[in-house]
Amino acid sequence: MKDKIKIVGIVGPDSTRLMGHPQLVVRNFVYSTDVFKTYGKLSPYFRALAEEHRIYATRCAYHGVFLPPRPFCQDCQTPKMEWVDYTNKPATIKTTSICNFAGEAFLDEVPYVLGFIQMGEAKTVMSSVVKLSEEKSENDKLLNVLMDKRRYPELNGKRVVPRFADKPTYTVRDLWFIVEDKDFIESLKV
Amino acid sequence: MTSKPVNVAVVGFGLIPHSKSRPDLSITDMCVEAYNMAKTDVSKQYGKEFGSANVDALVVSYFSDHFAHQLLGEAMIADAFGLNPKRTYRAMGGGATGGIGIQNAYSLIASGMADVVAAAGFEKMSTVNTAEGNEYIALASDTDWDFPNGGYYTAYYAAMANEYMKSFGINPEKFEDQMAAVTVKNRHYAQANPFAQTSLLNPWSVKKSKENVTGEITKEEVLSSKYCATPLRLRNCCLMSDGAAVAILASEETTRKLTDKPVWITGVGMGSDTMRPGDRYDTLGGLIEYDLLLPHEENNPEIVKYYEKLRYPGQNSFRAGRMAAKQAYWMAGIENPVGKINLSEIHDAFGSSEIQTYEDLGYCPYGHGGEFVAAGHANIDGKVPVNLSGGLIGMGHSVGSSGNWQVGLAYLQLRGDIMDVFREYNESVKTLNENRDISLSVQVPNAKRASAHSHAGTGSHVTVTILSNQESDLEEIRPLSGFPSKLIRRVA
Repeated sequence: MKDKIKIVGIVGPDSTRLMGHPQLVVRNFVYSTDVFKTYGKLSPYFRALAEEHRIYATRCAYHGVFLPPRPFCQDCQTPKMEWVDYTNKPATIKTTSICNFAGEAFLDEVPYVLGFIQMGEAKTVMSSVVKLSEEKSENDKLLNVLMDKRRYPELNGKRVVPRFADKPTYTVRDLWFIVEDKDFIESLKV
Repeated sequence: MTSKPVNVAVVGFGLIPHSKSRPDLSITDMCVEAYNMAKTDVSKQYGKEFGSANVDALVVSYFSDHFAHQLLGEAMIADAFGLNPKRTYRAMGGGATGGIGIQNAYSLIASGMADVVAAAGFEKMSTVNTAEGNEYIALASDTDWDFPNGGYYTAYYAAMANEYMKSFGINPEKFEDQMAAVTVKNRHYAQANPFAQTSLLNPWSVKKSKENVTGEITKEEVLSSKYCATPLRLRNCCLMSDGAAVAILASEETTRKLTDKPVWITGVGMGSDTMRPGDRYDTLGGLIEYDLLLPHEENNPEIVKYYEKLRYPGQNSFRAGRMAAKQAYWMAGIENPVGKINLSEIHDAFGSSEIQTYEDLGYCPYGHGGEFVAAGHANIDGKVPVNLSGGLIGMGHSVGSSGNWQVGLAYLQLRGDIMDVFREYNESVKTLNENRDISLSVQVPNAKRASAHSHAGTGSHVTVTILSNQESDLEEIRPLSGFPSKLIRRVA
């Protein structure tokens, strides 16, 4: 076994939480894994996103359009799904939250917006990062205004346009959306 | 349709004080301490010693192999309880893990597969820091589509809260006030409960902190805590906890021998919804479309008219919660929960979700949950007292045990001696805790029925369990296999 385990601390009996228990050993170890996870039948979506900067939805002839795409219809489970190019369909924010805290992996990105995006006639909404500015510092500033002035609900319903990563990661991070409404963004600057 | 289920009662309960961190207890230590309390609780009523020999099966509920850094933890619990080689099952369903565990234990007895079952729930979340913990929990969201966008549970609920505000025309000032009222209420009731993480009575609670983590909290303090994910502030969120709880369930025949104060499980319901909150169709008149009106709503033409125009569930309500409630009420023969249910334990992962859940459970019409709490209807003297335990915000959220102690504490309420149990425990730890006395009572006088609501994901699965101390309610129980729903076409 690799030397992964180390004892980081002997918690002393003077700790108020420990109520006079004798010394307690708390061990620390690093736990990491390399994971190979397939997108399966949705692989074409991620290739199109990364390599062609296109957004594809799937359509069931009977039950409509799904975005995120589904390889089988949510309603009838048929595999007869058609890929449809949704890149240029109108996109609006259904709902959002400005994240000011996050899971460990995203802590260095706060504040950021987790949005749920409605595109075209899709029956479902897709989560995506939403930005007010491509400039990180400017985006942070605008998001702080939305929080400080409690104007965060105003993001809901805004029109957005897609942006694609230059260096693809073959994840949903290859796509994000930016708010189009210039007047709204200007109103945050005063 | 099958015949009536075997009647099942809760006959004993035990738990450990919840805390941000219990380095003095391993996962098995936590469970055995709770189990010993539960066994003692049964023994006191039985008048003889109740022990592992009396138990014929075990259901262990814990959420995360990551937090525990232990797979197959149930084997260690069965071993520690001295139950080998008897039956051991594990229940896992995100935040609803504890509620599912209780319902699995119920099903074993109701179906005649077991006579006495121990349901043990635990979680040890102090193994990692809060941000890492948030990431672990976020792995219970779609890891291809939602998590990589920076998704984590507070953000998903927050986005749903924003959608809720938009759908029902509630401005952020008002909604944040209403959510603050939830925290103020739950933290207040937690002060009667020495097992609650935020209770000053709890020897393992954090006593000195600038961040109001323990004791009562004011609306202003809630509103001045920082945003985690708009509109949710730090003090609108439940707590990560180390904790364990054990409930003992028994068949009617055995219950009669064990206790003269039986508390029956008269209704169980469970609903589900999509993993990704974005996948829930926003259907006009969805409550009617999915056949989810409760009987008291069906009989109210004004409400039906309102619901015909309401888009549902979309991202603003938890359809699984409504489905679970509808089943549990149907099984227990409850037409209108208000007036019938004397106290309710709700999975208040966030202030917003407690508000949304009042509506799913039929305590008030959709869109009016915020007014319900602001008007004091969820207080101990209100229409339906909610989270007198302190809830997940006040008691803590030891994921796999939360749904378990919700049922356990509601059981003690219906037994009528919850304050005796709290006082007895408080006396035993008083010297460690500046000799604090309990100065608040959360006992609902003459409580007859209670509900416990356990909730996973962004509502991916929800359980509702109805408890009653009324013998006459046993006559009302209907087998859930006969549950009528437009969504279920019986094979003809």
